[in-house]
Amino acid sequence: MSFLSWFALGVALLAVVPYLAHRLRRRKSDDKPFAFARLVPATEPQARRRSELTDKSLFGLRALSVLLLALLGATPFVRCSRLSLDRGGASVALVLVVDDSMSMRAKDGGESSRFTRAIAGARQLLSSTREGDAVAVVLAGSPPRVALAASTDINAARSTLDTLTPSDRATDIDGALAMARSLVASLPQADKRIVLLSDLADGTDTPLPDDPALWVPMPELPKEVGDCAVLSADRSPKEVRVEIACSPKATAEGRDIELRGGERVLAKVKAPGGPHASVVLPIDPRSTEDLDVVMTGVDAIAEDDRAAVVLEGSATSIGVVGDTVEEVTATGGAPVVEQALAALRTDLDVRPLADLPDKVADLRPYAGLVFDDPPGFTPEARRVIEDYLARGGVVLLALGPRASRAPLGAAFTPLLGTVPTWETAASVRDKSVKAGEGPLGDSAQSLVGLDPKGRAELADDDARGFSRWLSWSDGPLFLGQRELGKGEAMVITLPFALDQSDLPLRPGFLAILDSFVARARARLSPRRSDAGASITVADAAVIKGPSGSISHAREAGVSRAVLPEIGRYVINVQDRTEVRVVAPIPRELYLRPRAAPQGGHAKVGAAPGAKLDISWVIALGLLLLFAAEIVMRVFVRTDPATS
Amino acid sequence: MTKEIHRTLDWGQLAPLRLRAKMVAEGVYAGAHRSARKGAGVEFGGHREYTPGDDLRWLDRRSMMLHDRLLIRQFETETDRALRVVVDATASMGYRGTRGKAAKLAWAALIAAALAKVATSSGDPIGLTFIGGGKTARPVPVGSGREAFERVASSLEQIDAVGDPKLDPDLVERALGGIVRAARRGSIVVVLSDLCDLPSRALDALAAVSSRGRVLVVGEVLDPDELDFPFDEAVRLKAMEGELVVETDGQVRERYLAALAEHRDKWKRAITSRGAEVVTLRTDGDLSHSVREIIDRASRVRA
Repeated sequence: MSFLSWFALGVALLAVVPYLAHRLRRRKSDDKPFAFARLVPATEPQARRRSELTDKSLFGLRALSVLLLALLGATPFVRCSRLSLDRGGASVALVLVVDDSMSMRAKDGGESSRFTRAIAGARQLLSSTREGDAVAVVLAGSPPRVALAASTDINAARSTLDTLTPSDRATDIDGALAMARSLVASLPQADKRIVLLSDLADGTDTPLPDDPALWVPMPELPKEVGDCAVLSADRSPKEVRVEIACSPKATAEGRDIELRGGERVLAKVKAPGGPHASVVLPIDPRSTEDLDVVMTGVDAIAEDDRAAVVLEGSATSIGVVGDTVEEVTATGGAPVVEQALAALRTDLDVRPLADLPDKVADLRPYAGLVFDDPPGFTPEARRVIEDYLARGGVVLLALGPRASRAPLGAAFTPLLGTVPTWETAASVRDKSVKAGEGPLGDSAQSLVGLDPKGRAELADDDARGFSRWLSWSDGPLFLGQRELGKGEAMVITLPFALDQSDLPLRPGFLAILDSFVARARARLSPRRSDAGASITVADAAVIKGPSGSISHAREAGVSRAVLPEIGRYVINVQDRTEVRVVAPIPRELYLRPRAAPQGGHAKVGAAPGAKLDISWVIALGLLLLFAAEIVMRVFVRTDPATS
Repeated sequence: MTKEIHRTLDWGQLAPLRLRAKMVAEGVYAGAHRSARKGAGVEFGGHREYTPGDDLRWLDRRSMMLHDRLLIRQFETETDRALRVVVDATASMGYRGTRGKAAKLAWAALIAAALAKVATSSGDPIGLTFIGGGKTARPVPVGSGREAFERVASSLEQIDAVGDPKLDPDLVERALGGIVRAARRGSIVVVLSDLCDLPSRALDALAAVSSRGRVLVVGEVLDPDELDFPFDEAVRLKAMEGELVVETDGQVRERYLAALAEHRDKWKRAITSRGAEVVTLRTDGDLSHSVREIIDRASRVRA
């Protein structure tokens, strides 16, 4: 501020003048002589109090008037701390990108969260818009959404900001910025600006793109803070397995992990240190109430310190359907796939099944089914598998020579439309697995150089339906996965028999089985979803979430609902109830902000300290004060009770 | 610890005293002043009602026996023509309100000087005495001529409002005692006072002055603010005599005016019952009119 600003503000010191005058006047009145004072009755204390109150009101009015006068004098020189657009005469196309991800719930600035401050900043920016400006609002929580398409109706923008609420979504700043650019690109205004109101913490370290239209006006939001979260709490009959994770600057050490039924603490353990850890809490198997796991203590985001315990349900087994005679190992014992599943030490039992049951209800105990080179499925088996998949089951189908020799009437629907063919060893000798793709990662390297005696080959139509995890080096599918109903199927084009290939001897074999078991566990009811992800529900479904009812809408022929917050959601469809749990996204715990572009806090001709002419507001306030004083004086003079 | 209020007398618009007194006196018709007065003498001049203190030698016994009334016989005679002015210079007389032209004591001093000028112009002797005034009070013995006026004016110019009758109850008796002893029948005594906080025994002293054929006129000097209490907002009033402090505001106006009226009425009744007259003198009034009023009242008493 210049000298003139300080000088003008210094006038505010004159606010004490009325008080000094008041004191002087009162002291003078204290000594007022009067010859006949003996004849003057003293007044009631009530009257004196009323007189003092009136004096104070007038004093307050006058002091405020002097302060406002000082402000009015300094207004042309004072930079207001409100956010505003430093603009020329032309209209502006403005896109407000508001981050509504979970990290914006952090309260590192006092009582209000980052999201609340971002919304306040957006409102301040809206107050500096003028007629002819276009405003759009984009939300940067994953997936990015357009909350308000570009509009010249500023009131609509204000109303939109009023309706925004924080969520537990992940952050997708890049997606939101791309969406914002596409919104402003088609607008006629020459001055286009994208304002990003975010903490810039989206789990990545890459700097923001150096876009001349981009402005990050609130540098106080991107600040790295520490936070720990309960990622999952899964209940088996006798225990609850809890996964916790912490951001780089935080540790859960010293905090407690409590298992609660309502607010009653049922079990408690000390949280281990480290960025990622899991603990096990004992539980009474007979307990049927809804349980929560709570991490005590305080960190930046309180909402992710509590997680609903997921009941794993009655599916506690993996069923293995195969020919136990042919697949037995040379040293005896269970087939190799059963031994491999047991070696994974999952808490799921491995049960051999000679035949599929005729009723799908009999498959309820099975989280997943492994078919090792089956000679096709009978019509009854196909119906059971179809129902099983529709209810969320996971199937692993290993294809071998027997599969290619499926008898008449047997087929692999709904997994495959056509019976696969079996290529002999001569044609596959030099065609081993091509690694480096798919979700198995480095484990797939161990599958390179397989020495199979043959391989199954899917029809082209069938192969195209699968997501390709691993391929043979000459192109055909080796391992694939596809969604079927609520469930999913994995197919591998080699059987698990040792006399057909050395696949079971490779570490990659265990990786494949582990992936299968993980998917089977994830499909166990109730299911766990990421915040902000949309789920498919029945048209008649009624969804109740932690903050009330959730609506769903038909989209591309199916009803979909978005679950934006962490917590337990109960979905009722007629007489059936399904529970879904939304868990924190580990990526959102990485609260290190991305670097803003150089000078990104004050680009595009706008700055948080931009001049804002508020003279008319102060002048109006002065007029009101003067009017109030006049009214008060008239009131005091005319009201006999106060005279 | 309270601080005594003492201020130099506020002369307001009345200074210089001598010049003002002459101007006022010129406004009063001096020719109306007659030196021939009724009283003890050789040529019968009529009767009047007996008042306590009258010389019993002049009681008309025949009239008493015939009519059962106490009458005093009066005769045309050359009487004491002296005018004695008593000015109250206690602290309360130093008060000046917002509308008064000067302090009450200054107003009384100017009236006294104007009376002195009228008297000396008519050849009558003039004397001056003070109630209170402390060391500034310098009484002037009865004298005639221009020199007497000068002495009176000089004494009045130096007077200040000092003294508290409550602390010194004999203040009034000391001032009036000399007059009672020296003044003869027919002499006129004018007391200029606000009658504020005077002790009750002051009434006895005034009664003694008005006896024995002496004419007593009391000029009640009051400030307009004392008469209508103009205060609206909260105010702390401190008595000018004593340590009394009253916190008050405009709410008490009616009660104060009632108390003042009762106080004035008490004094007026007590004074007039002794054959004297009371004249109210407002410090925002007309000086010539006030002096004429005093002279007229004195004439009325004598008649």
